[in-house]
Amino acid sequence: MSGVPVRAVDGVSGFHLLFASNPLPMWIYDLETLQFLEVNDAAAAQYGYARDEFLGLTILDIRPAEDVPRVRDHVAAGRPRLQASGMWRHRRKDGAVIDVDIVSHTLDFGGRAASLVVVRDITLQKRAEREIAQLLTREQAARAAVEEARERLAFLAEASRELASSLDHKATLATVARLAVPTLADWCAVDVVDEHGAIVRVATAHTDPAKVALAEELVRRYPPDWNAPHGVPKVLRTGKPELYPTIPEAMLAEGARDAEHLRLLRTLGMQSAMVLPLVAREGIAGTLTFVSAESGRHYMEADLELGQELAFRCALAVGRAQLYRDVQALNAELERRVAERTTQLGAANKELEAFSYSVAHDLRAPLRTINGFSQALLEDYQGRLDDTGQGFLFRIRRATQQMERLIDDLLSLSRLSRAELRRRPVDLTTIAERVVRSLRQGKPDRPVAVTIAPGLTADGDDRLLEAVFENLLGNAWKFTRDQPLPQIEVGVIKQAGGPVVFVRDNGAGFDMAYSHKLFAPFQRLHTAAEFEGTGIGLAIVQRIVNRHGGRAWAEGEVGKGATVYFTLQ
Amino acid sequence: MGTKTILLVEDNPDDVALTLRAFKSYHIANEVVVAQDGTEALDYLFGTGAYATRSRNDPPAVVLLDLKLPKADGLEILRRVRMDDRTRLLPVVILTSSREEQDLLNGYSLGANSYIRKPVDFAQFAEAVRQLGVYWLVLNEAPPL
Repeated sequence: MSGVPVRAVDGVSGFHLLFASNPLPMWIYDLETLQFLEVNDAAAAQYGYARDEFLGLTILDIRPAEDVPRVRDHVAAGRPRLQASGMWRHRRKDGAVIDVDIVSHTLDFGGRAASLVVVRDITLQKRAEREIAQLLTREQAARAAVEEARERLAFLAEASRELASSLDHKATLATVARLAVPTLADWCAVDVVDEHGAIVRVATAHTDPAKVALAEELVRRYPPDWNAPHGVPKVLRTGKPELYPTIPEAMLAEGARDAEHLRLLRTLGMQSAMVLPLVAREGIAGTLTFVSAESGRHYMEADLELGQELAFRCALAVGRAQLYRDVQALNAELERRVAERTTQLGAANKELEAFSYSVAHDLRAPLRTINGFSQALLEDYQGRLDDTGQGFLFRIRRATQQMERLIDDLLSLSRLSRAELRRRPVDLTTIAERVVRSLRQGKPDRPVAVTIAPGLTADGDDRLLEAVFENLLGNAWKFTRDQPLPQIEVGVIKQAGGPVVFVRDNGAGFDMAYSHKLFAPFQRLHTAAEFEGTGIGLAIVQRIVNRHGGRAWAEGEVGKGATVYFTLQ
Repeated sequence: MGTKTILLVEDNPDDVALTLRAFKSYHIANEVVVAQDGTEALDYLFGTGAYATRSRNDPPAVVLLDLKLPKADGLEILRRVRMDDRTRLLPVVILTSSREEQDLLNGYSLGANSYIRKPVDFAQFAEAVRQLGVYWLVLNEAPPL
């Protein structure tokens, strides 16, 4: 190695200009001893050593200890005269390490092979680079995190969609298991607690069907034990999720019942696992187990969070499926009950019909006998009965006639309950007019002033509504008998709840204290001597009105008249 | 009022007595044959059983038929009468206590000529029987049987 002798550049001032006062730290060191032979002011300022101190050091002394071997190698290596030896780390007197970019140049310094070194401090530049690199790493990490979050959200969204599409309990759980593989796990299993308190595996998923069979066999041969120290039973007991970042051999051994069990557990090749509770309305309904095997992934807190989110959605879906099943069961039960009641009603109706038929035929026959033979007595034994005896027979006959009317009314009331309701538009005005005409024909001498509002219409069964007017107008006609100026009015009051039709008279009226008895069958507010009747008319009116979905009520005052109101919906 | 018979199909002896009494009070002198149940009525009409010796060429002027009868009921008798060529045109009047719509409907559907409800009051009942007699025994031209 031959150096180039330093020639002074215009003497001392030249040396100062180029070396001593150079703003870049510079030094000359002995290539053999590595001793500093000369340093400039900038070097002294930069490294914190005085010139004299520097000259007592070797270049190894300004290196971090760990860099020293590399420096030795570098120096020992053959080198060109001028070289850019690149980036190094130097240590200042205060111990601070700085990054430097070195350019060196071999020369002959006072007869010694030496190297002139120019130092450029690139600490700040390096730091900036490091910071940029760190920022880049962080940015990438952040990007990765965002991407991962996005994937998780997409996964959860997909899971939610899939879960929402099924209302079948089992299908829902199978869906969850299927969704988790392979995004979240190599294995996924769903266990539930059945109605007998047993832990039942309801779904297993793995990309390889053979492995699914293996896992199923394992559960079949070794059903879960509620007291097991890890896994599903523990989560079912505590309701808290379990995270196993790694599954050491010891854990397998602890959970295994016997050597065969352990062997089977080992064949699963479990690396990491997490078990999450499915929290339902009534408590812990089951668990969701994720196992990583051949993928080699290890679950962490973030995975647990995602798993919990999935378990939460799964529990919601299961809850919904259960609700749906409950509703279906309820519906089926309701339908069964309706069918049962319908059958019962049908039977009751048949019984009622048979009863009515019997009443119609059999109750009248004895009446006819009583009546007929009373009459026969009157006719055949007239001479042998005095007036009192004949009066008795008249009473007997009258009673049989009254009883016949009662039977007829009873039958018509029962017929009304059974008759089919045929709704159609009905002209009430016309019906009322027809009924009044018929009443006038029956008693042409009665001067009753009847007013019927025009255009009264309703939706209903015309035959039944005619019966309503027959009864109401018949009553009005009857109870105005003692009124010198009898008046009957048929009208309508428009109300928010629908029209209210009324029939008003100025007849005998009634005491409002007894208005509750008015519509009950066979209840009368007048004696038979005052007004004839069976007390069935208003009961019939009410039954018809009720069957139309309406109601009937009355207002009245003794001696002033009565008004009966009714609605039809 | 001719000599044709009236077949009264009625199981209630009181009703039979009252009906006969009504006929009598209105001087309806035709023979009234009483059948107390459906079988007897059919035997009379078809000349079977107790009536095996009866001439089949002597149909009653009218059959007064109660509906509620032991054994074959009134509607069943009516159905059998209408099914048989010998009696399908025979005047049959349903005389019953029932005013049930279903009975009316069934009676007319099976070919009853008339449907009379027996009133409880004897005066009304007797009047109904009188009109029946006048109509079916006097006014009505019997079908050529």
